[in-house]
Amino acid sequence: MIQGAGLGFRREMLDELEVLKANPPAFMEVAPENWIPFGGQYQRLFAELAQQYPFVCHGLSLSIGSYEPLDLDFVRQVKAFIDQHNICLYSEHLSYCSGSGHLYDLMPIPFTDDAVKHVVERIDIVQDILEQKIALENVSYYCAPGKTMPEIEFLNRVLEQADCLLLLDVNNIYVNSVNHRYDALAFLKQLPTERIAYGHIAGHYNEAADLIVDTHGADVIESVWTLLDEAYRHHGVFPTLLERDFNIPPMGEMLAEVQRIRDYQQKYHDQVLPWPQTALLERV
Amino acid sequence: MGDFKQLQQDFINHIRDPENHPEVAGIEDRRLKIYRELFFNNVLGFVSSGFPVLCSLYDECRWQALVRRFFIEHDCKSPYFIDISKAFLNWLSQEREPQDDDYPFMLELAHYEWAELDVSVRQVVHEHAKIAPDEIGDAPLVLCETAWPLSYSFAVHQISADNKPTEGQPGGVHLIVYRDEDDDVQFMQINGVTAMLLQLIGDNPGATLSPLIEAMCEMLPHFAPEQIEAGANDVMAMLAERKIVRRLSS
Repeated sequence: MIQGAGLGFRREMLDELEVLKANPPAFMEVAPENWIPFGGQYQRLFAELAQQYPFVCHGLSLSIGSYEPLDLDFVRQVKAFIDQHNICLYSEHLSYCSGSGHLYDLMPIPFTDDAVKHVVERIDIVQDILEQKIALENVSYYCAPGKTMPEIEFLNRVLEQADCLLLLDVNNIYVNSVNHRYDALAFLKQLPTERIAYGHIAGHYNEAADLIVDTHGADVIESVWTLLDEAYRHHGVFPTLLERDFNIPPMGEMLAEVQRIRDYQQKYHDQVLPWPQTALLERV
Repeated sequence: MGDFKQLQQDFINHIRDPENHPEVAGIEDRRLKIYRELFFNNVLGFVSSGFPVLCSLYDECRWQALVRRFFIEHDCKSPYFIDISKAFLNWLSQEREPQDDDYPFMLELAHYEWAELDVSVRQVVHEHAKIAPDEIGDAPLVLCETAWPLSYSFAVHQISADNKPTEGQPGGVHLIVYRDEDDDVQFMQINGVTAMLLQLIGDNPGATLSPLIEAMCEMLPHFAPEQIEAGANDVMAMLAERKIVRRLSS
């Protein structure tokens, strides 16, 4: 299981393991796509890290929402990786990143009835292969082609019908609330508390007053911290990690943001959400 | 599912080839622009960092045009980002129509740059043992899994913005790309005879040195056998020391 305040770990951070060790996050997260195909020093170093920290995997290329068939070989490779390194949870994005070929980034899944049905069927296949429940993240998006229902309805219907977990990305709620003019707090409160596995927090880039790009390339802004505070107040404290993928600052600066997550968690220390292992994590 | 698939296909077509698919129905262009730029810059970044030398020989505009053609024309099948480089090389060598102004060494250089990347991340299946100097004559030999002997017609390892050869080297250029003790990638230029020995070791895993020397003597009738044997022993000592050639473990 995971708990507390964590950090999204990248290969670029391998040089600063000593700094990390001095003030260790409670857990870390990696994208399996960025480690599975790497032999040599990366394989060795990750195996060592996975013994020292609890890890979750956060996938990028599953393409759960694509109309093309699932890459089952890839899902089995993820299964082998999480088994090998004793990783307790695999999360992905409620999105798609491929058609006839991979585009290597997240596209906005149409919020439609047939997309709900399609995604639910595919989550079931993945959960069967992995022999555990997966968590899906509410993604940031800049437009919603074909939308026939609100994002919150789409998300909640998928979570409910697939009976899977939620990776609650606080920054994405903020970004989407600006980009699509909705009330972030109202959205946050409609999320199913009992399905929250863990959370993400990150910085972003302001393209325009009404258009924000979710870059993970800057410090977390105050409005997003406030939303994290509200999330804990409303749902209880869930494990939360800092994502930083671009303009990566010295480790000390990132750990200061991890500490701030810890501070918010401390504020609501008597309302810690139970890790959903018994009720939800295990596949029956 | 028809509509859903069509919505995705329209979106993908626009992202990959906005010139020929200029819009997505009902969506503001400034929003599409975010996707267009994020996606293309992401792939551009992977290709540029995978082929730094090739990239340095192009001005930004021509390089971006090349990567754009790749992005439009090639369906990348791998979920792994590291495989974008291999996909680019495959597209370049097998799918792309050669252009009159291509560098004559373009494919060889791209292959060499990809080979360095491939060796750097290659997964080791069999960890064969190092050969001690006094074991060289008796050990069953095998090429290390993270060593790759390569032969090109151009001196690809010397190409730069200031050195763009127009012709290949007589006799070609032989290189070995390998991982050192720290798993860092190194390369070494080797002569044709060493390349031949490495080829023989690669083709005959488990053979000892003497039959390989015999085979070389037959292939090189104009050299004295003693000369070949002495040369092979020297070269083997160096290859064993760097763990490029190892003892085959059963």
